[in-house]
Amino acid sequence: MKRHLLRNSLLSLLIPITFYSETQAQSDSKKTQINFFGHIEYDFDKMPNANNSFFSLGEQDFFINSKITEEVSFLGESVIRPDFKTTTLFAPSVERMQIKYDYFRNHSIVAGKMHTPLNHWNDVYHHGRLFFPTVDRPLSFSYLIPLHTTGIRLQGQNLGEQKFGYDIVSGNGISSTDFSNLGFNKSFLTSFHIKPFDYTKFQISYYYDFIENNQSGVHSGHSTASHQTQSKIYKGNVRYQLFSFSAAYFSNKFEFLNETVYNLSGSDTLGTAKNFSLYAYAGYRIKGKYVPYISFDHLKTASNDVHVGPLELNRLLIGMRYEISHQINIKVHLAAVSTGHSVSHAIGHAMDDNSYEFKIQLSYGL
Amino acid sequence: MVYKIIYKYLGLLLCLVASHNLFAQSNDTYLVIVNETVNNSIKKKEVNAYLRGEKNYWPNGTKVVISLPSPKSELAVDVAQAIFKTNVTGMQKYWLSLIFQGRVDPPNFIMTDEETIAFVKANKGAIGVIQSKNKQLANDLLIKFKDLNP
Repeated sequence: MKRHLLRNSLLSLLIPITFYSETQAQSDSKKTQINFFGHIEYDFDKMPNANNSFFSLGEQDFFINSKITEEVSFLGESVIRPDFKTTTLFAPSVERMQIKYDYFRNHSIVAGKMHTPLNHWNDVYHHGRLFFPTVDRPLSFSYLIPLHTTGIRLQGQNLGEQKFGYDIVSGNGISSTDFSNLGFNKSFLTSFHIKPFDYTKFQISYYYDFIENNQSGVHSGHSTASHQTQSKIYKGNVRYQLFSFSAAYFSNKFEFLNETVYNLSGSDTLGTAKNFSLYAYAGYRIKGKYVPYISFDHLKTASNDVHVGPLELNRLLIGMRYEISHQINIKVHLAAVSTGHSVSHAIGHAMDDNSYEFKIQLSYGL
Repeated sequence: MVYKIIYKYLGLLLCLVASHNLFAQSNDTYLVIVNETVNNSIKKKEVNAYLRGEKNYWPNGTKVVISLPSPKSELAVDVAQAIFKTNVTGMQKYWLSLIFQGRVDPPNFIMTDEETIAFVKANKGAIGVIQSKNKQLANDLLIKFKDLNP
């Protein structure tokens, strides 16, 4: 018996550790797969008051996926990522830890910490720079999108002819940490998508959270506009609603992605701020490996917004992705970023207007 | 004004996308085989959905166990084009992406037709593809569709 257990343990460690390992005739129901994702980057930034040129290590992502029984699986993702509060400027972070139970056909229940399935980008790419079509995420990810939720999720996928899918999530909100969440309020998300044609996906979603004391937790991904001083940040509660629409098309020739976000951020003192973000990406694949692309990104928050603060950003870029294999690619882009005049008006002094950036990113997944 | 132009552009692009799909082609250099427990249970147009991980359970409730040609095998290019409508790299990235999203169990990549046949025979709910020229090796496993084999 002991020998049998030992043999099974060794097999479960050795056999599936490589993604494309050849398979023995009898499939092992306890199957564990380990991957490692990461990226290295070079940046050249030309800003009105300074120029910067530097190499940097990006997030280093340890990923594990394990099938425990036929219906139950585990997914864990721990990342060592840049963190400017530490001496090494890097810190470990638990990004996902979830147990999934397939209770009926393509319907599942997921518990744990997960990527908030709010739009195509956060659900499909999130940390995986290898999967990103461009170097960076849309601007809304730094200000409006709640990146993670710890809680319970009901999930269905590929249902019917239209490949309908749903995600209903309730969990800790934007103000939470991995340990706790202020108050009794929980965030709520409902998201629906269809895949009516090959390569095509449309998704709509709604997110609600009551943010106690207007705090952004460590994994919300939210930050305030850079011109907002800490002493002036609103300390009351915020009613946070977010509507999102995604349209994605990724074939072996054309690529297209649109992420549209409309946000209502309500406070007792300044009313409801209406914020908007639009991201569009288009690429065309040449000779199977080269994808030249363009992207436009716009983000505007209202002058009475208390969560992010007044902000207007536009980013226009051209770039090229070279896919060396499915496990490694290089992306290069040249971007112009401008700050809208409405921000200068709202805060009463001039903001830096335009900056330019040149980036080279090497992304890999092992 | 700018947004109106952008959305007009998006609409045009989506029309192009929809028309592009009408010209998708299939391939008959391979045959689909399944474990005997699930044969004669699906419609022909559904078969690719099982091989792409879009349907996780057979109609009789058995979990689908996917086997696909290893990227270095003879059949990989044909299967990538016909079932995944991409190249071998694209097929591999397709699976890596789905696994990263936590949506599917990894498929089993197998080098030869003989190994695929042995795998499908041995695993309840298994589905795989072999080269058409090896039809005689797997006559009892060839998929039978319920809409074509009443």
